[in-house]
Amino acid sequence: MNKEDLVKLAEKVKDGSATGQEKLDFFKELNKVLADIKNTLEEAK
Amino acid sequence: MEGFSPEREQMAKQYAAENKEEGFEVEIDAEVSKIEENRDEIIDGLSKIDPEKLTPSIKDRFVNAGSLLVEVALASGGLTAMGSVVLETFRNMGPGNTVYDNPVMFYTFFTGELVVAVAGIMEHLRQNRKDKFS
Repeated sequence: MNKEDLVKLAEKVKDGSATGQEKLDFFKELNKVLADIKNTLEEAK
Repeated sequence: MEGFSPEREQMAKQYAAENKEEGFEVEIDAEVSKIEENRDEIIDGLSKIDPEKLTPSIKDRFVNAGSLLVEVALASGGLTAMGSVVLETFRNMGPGNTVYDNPVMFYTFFTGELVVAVAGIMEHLRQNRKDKFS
């Protein structure tokens, strides 16, 4: 998912119009971003 | 929904949206727990790296991820107007920028903003769900 789509999804979650599937997708994408940061940290050690 | 008043139509749509959430709660809870675990591991990991060892490539990846997280935190309502200032700082990051060029300043900025952004997203969504399901 690209940045624009993730931001749009965050807006839908905020205004309450996101379905359960969309909310789940949002959290999964957020975890991918955090996983990428963890990988970067490993390389930085 | 022909024949329904706009109010009834809105209620029907809301009911349908709420029903669609059923069955996802367990998976959503699992993802939320994973986010909290990841956040804690990142905070722990950040405490173990040497700011002086941050290469431009690593910094760029941190800048991209940090910028994305702050943007998502703003969009999800988890950050106030101050978040916009932080986002602008991230967007202007690069060689020649005071924060970017100083390893300790960069490390401190990234760590602080990352923690605030994730906490903002989580707190807002927690509140959002509490209001909805209480």
